[in-house]
Amino acid sequence: MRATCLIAIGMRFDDRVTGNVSKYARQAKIVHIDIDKAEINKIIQADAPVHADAREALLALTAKCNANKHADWVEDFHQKNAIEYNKVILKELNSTGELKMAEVIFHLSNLTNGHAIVVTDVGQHQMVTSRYYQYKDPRKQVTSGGAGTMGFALPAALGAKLARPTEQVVAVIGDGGYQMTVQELGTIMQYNIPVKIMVLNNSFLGMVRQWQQLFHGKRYSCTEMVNPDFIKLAGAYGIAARKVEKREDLVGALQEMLDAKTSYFLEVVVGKEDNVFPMVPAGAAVSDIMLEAPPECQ
Amino acid sequence: MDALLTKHKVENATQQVAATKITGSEALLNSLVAEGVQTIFGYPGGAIMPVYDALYHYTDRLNHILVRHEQGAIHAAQGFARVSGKVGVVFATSGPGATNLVTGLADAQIDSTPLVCITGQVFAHLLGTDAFQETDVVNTTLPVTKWNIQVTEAADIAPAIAKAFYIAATGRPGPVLVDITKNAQNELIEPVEYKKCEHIRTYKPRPALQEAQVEAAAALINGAKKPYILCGQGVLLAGATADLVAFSEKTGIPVACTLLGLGGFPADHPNYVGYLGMHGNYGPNVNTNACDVLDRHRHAVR
Repeated sequence: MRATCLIAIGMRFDDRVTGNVSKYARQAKIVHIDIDKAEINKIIQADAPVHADAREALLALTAKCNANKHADWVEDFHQKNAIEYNKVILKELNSTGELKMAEVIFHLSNLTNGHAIVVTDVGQHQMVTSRYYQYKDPRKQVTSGGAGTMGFALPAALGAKLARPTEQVVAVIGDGGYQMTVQELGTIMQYNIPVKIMVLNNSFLGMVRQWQQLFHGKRYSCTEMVNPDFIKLAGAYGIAARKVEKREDLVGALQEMLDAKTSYFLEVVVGKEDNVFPMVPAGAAVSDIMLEAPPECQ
Repeated sequence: MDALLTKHKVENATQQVAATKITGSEALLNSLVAEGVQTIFGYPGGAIMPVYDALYHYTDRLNHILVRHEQGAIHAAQGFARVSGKVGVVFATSGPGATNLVTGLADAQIDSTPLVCITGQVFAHLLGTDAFQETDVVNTTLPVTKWNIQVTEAADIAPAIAKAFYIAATGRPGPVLVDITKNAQNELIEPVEYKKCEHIRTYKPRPALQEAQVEAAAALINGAKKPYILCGQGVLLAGATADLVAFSEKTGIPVACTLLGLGGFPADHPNYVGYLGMHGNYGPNVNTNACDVLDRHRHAVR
């Protein structure tokens, strides 16, 4: 089963979403609703453009569209996602040995019931969080999307906490991006901002390393990171800190972080060569999405 | 005797005038208060000192967060804006202070985040002389701002701020930069009542919904055998989550979210099918593209 009509609302057909544009949704009619006229027909030709505010357009369309059900079609998605669940997710959530990024976020999502404000930096941890954190409410996912700016999360999280001080705010960051703006721990200290900071530490520039593994014959050129003692660093700023390396300590440590009434730093050591799958390789069609690394790259 | 009286009169008159006038810096801060700003993320420096001096007497109205790097200030303002829907406000000084904002401006521009960034600038008479901490911020940030402007006279500050907030927050939101020369920050002017900007000729942020476009879209959707909703950040920016849920529930259409659209449709809703894109879920990606061979056969049947 394939879509026959795409209804794009307030999205701009970014290349990370479309994959190879020449192969994208060729069979489908495109309805494109956007407030910015420059986005309509920029990447994808729209069969029915709607140049409008999303809310106004949705209200009008709901009135004009027929009540309907597409039970089999919706079920098809769930069945395909079940393939992913069995091939990828089950393994990630039931692994032994080094901690996987996936299980960390899975537990974070469960412990907060999908209601925390989660601010991510850029890289593998960002993709894993987008996959495993079950965002149930609007305006609780904060990340650098179009630009992919490393170092975004720590300051963005303190800003988010100041905007919504009564809500749980958790920053999920990699060891690389963390060090780009780590001096903002000073701001957190000075104003006693009770934001939660979780660094998934794999001692690598993870996403680049993954591409080096998959597309550059595992030549890890300049991606290995020698990191400082992050716990001591947080301590220097008077921030409660803990490091987790073992699976049996994970949930307890997450709960401790979430329960803290002050700012809290949690370092979780994760697998050095952990990869994020599924993946649509650059230049591929989205339907060529890979569920695992090809055997020659493992 | 006459000379003494005249001197007295002049002194009194000067005092009266001084008492009613305000500085450009105060005009700036009054404008921010009038726009509902309560939090500012910033880092002081030479070219913005008059603003910070005025700020000293506004601590009851404006809460300034001193960061450790201007990039931290702008990312903090972004986080603030993203979760609240308000315009994030940043203060930075001239030269390197301003250029340290460039990454955040580019980020806010591409991710449609409303920001108003105020940068100090050297005295107007020094512009173009390669003065200390002088950088051509307006030209540097042209491609990474929704709008920017340099203000060299105090009387132009409030109108510039009004325009800045209007442009940042309306239509597709984005970052705006206002560069204020030091003389303008110091200059005394008569206080004028702040006027919010509600219209700029040639700027049409909110397109009027066109019946014909809606009809055409509805026709396609009603006739579609396998319709599929892609939810982006625009849904969140419009505050349209409830309306999207209503639309999806009425029409029975499944919904997937882009990275910035996550949360725009609740992840635990039965019609939610997942996350789109490079590391998205299997179903949402595979069901987008036709398998060429199969669908050539099915083409006519669709």
